[in-house]
Amino acid sequence: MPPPARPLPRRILVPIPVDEASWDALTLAASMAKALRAEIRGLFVEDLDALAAASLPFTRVIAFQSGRLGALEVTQVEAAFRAQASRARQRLGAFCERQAVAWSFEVANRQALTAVEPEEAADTNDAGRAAPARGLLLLDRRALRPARQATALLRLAQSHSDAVAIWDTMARSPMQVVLVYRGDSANLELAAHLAQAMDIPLRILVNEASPDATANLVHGAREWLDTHRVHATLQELAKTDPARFRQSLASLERALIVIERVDLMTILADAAATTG
Amino acid sequence: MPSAPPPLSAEQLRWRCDPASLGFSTTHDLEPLVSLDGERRWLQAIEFGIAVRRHEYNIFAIGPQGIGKEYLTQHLLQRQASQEPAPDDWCYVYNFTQPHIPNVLRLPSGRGRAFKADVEQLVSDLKEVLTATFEGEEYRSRRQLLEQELKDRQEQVFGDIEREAQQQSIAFLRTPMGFSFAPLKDGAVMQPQAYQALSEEERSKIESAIKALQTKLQEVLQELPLWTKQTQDKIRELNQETANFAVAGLIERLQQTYGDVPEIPEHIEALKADMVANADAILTMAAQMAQGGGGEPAAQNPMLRRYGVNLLVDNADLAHAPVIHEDNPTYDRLIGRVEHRSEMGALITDFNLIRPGALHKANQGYLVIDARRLLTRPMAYEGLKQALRGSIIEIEPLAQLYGLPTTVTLQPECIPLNVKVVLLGDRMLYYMLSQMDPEFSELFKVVADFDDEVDRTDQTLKGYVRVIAGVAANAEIHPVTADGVARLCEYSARLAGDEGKLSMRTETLRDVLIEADYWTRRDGRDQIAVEDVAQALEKREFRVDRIRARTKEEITKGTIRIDTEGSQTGQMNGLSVLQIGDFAFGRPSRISAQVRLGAGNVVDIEREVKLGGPLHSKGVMILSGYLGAKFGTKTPLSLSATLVFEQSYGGVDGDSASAAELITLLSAISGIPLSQAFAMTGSVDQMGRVQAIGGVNQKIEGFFDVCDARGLSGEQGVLIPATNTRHLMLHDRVIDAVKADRFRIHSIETIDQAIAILTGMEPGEADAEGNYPPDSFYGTVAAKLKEFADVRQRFAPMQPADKPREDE
Repeated sequence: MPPPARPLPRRILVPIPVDEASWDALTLAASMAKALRAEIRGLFVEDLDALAAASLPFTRVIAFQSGRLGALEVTQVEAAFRAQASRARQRLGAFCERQAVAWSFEVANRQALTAVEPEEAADTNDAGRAAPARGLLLLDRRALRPARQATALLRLAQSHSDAVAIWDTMARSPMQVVLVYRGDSANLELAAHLAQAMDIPLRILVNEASPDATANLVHGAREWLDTHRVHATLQELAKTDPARFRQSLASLERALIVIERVDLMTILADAAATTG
Repeated sequence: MPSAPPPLSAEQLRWRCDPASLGFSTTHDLEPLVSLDGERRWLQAIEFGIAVRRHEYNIFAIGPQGIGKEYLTQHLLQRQASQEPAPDDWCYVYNFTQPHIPNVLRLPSGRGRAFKADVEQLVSDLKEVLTATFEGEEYRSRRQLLEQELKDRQEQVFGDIEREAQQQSIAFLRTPMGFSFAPLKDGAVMQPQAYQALSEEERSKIESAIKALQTKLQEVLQELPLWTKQTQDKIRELNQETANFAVAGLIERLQQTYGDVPEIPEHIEALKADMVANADAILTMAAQMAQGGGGEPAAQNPMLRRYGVNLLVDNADLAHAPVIHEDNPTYDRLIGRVEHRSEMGALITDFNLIRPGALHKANQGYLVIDARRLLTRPMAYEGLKQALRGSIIEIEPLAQLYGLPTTVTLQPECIPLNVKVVLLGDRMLYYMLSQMDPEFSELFKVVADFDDEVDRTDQTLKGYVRVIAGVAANAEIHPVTADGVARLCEYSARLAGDEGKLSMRTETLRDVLIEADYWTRRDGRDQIAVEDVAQALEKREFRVDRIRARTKEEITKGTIRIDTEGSQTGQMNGLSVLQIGDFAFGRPSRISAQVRLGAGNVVDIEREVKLGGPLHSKGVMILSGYLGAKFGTKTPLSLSATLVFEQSYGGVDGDSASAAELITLLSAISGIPLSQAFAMTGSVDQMGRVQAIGGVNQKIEGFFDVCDARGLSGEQGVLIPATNTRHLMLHDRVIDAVKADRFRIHSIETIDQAIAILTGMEPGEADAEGNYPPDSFYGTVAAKLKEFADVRQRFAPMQPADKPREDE
């Protein structure tokens, strides 16, 4: 068995949206960081659209719960973002310190996401040599929905991570790790490691265009699992279009889904197309 | 005319128990006996009290300390209890309708423990079963469906609004403060400059569109809470249905096991209903506990604590009815209590903190309490009476009884009471309670009066040595030899103060045996012999002997003046007994009398200075009666006399010195001296007959020790009432002196015999006219009184003869 293409991610990048309901993902991020001995990089993402809207003379805000109509001021939105960023920082710090995990925190606006410098520049995989890991991007499932964020997330994934983990923060703690396997043994090791550390089952989904390719992947995955004595359930997905693939992932309950960047691109492209 | 009676022989001074007559070698040969049964009053009383199973037929066992009434009572109760079945178990459980009144459950003996364990297991299983059921595919699917319906509905309306907005190139934004709408340009929110560059018409169109969208969104948002509530209701129904299904299996098992016990099925049903209703909270708590994230342990979790069982009385280990001895009968320890625990600075409680009292433990059995301790614990006696009156145990905080404000507490359901209470106390306490408390006689109708002594017969002696064997066996000491037992029997007769009786103060005998065993062990022997018993008795006396030794020393040195030789007029050695704790010893006292002209009255100086008790005064007044009857029939008594216990600075009571006082008075009147080698004890009646007194042994030994210290002359001795002869159980040192003719003890029946011994004169007998021979003792007294009368007659015009108590 060849050595993994890359070592385990040393950094978990967690975009923190303004929606505070999704901040529970920070707990999971801290647990994952501890399991991987990685560090967390929290990225609070301000929404420039909200600021732009506030600068228009007639825009109003409708309260979430009461439906009450109020004025929307730029200063008000800025103050709200600052307060949220502060709370997010505190929350992230609390979770990470409880797990004794190193962490850092940054504030960025959505348009500036692409400007965030990756820690590791290398993106190539020399044969037989492990390339430096760039990191793991942890996303809330809901972040995938709005079309206007898709491009930014895509850029973020491209520039900062080798793998993407998707998690539904509305659910409780994950009950399984699901890997969408495309032949990258580093992701196999990553998923197996997370499943073992969290003491939850590992499920591997294989999704390729041709039956031969799928069979090859299944064979490769089995070989890897046998060699590393990892127990997992393997499942072949029927050849699906991006929309159905996205729906398949969406139907997975209480799962931490590990996918490759290419899958994220597929999902986001589909989401963008659907919304557009 | 009575002559002086001869002194008593050494054999008359003490009963000797012959070891050979006892018929055993050591107490190991004997079958131990707890008590002398026979026709004993207390035994029959307790048996009667036990047999009458009514709540008011409780027993009061009375008798002095140290006779083993507690041990005997317990023994008897244990014997009876061993024939009665083990009582039921009692549990307190949560009252789901009125939490401040915990319910009580009664289970057959031994099943309480199993019930508690089963319910605890159920609670433990409950978390797992609920977790498993609620994480099951079916539940999750159904719940997800409901949630998804809500989500879909929300997304549908938000999506519709978003699409409608997009169709008009308007963005639907989610800001930190809420939703907002803004015009779009090139996929992003339009900048203000761009907006301002639009024509008035275009701006108006955008603003109108946004207003319309806002209105629509507001309408939607108003609907959302209702949708959420509808979904929550459905989820709650689903939860209850699911929980009901999950709990049913567990409950069913419990119902099958305990369906036959009254009231348990109802409780189990209530348990189930509450578990189903609170399934959500249990699940949350289980999840917290599973994660270790701040969940309380099950025993402390309020949610789970209420499902527990407080096994108040667990009789699983009892094979028969209980006999409980409550040594510290406080109110709480008798009736039970509700404890509290501190939580965040506040005192809180629940049914798990109800603690049983002695009444709970003794229910359907027997409860033994020391009456004095009961009466000295606040409200304990009242609490006991209340429980017995109503035949229920009602736990009520002590502060509440006093009407004081209390912290949050409970009113546990009452428990039916069926107990036989035995109070142990002395006679005084019993008589006092009978007189002062009407309820006492209603609730304690049986009195068991323990004798503190028994008649010594061959039959009782045989039983008595077996009791001693029992005491020795119970004390786990070496066996006692026959001569050791014989010595102990003699000591017992001494304790009884009667050579014809045996003391039942078995606790004292036990103490002596334990101390004798110490000397036996110290000398490396394996049987307690007579010398060990003797040494134990001697050392016991020595340890408490300090005051007697000091008194003797003061007398010997002459600080306290007691003459033990020669003759004195108007002076006689009387004898008194000092009781210091358990130890009593005799002490000689000098009694003196003075006479002068007067109206025939005898003044008791002790009484005048209020040092004399009423019995002593009575004795002195009897002397006036005696004098008046004997000498005042022909001539008026024209003297006044004063009597005093010299160098007595404490109180004097009792009439045991009245014979000595009479003879002292007669000596003072007649001027005839009395031998000081004697001491005298005994009371006297108006006819001059000497009557029995108490503490005769201690009194004789008290005078003997003083004489012995000064050197026995052979003339010294003690005069005692003849009726006290059977009480003699004197110490060997006295008997040895009597044997050697160095000390004498005379038993006298009349004052005349005392006169003969003390003066060496014939007392004299009155002739038909009432005249005494002139050379007799009484003749001299009569002549002296005549002289007083003549002198007084000369002063008659100045001093009316019939004026009473002129000297006072």
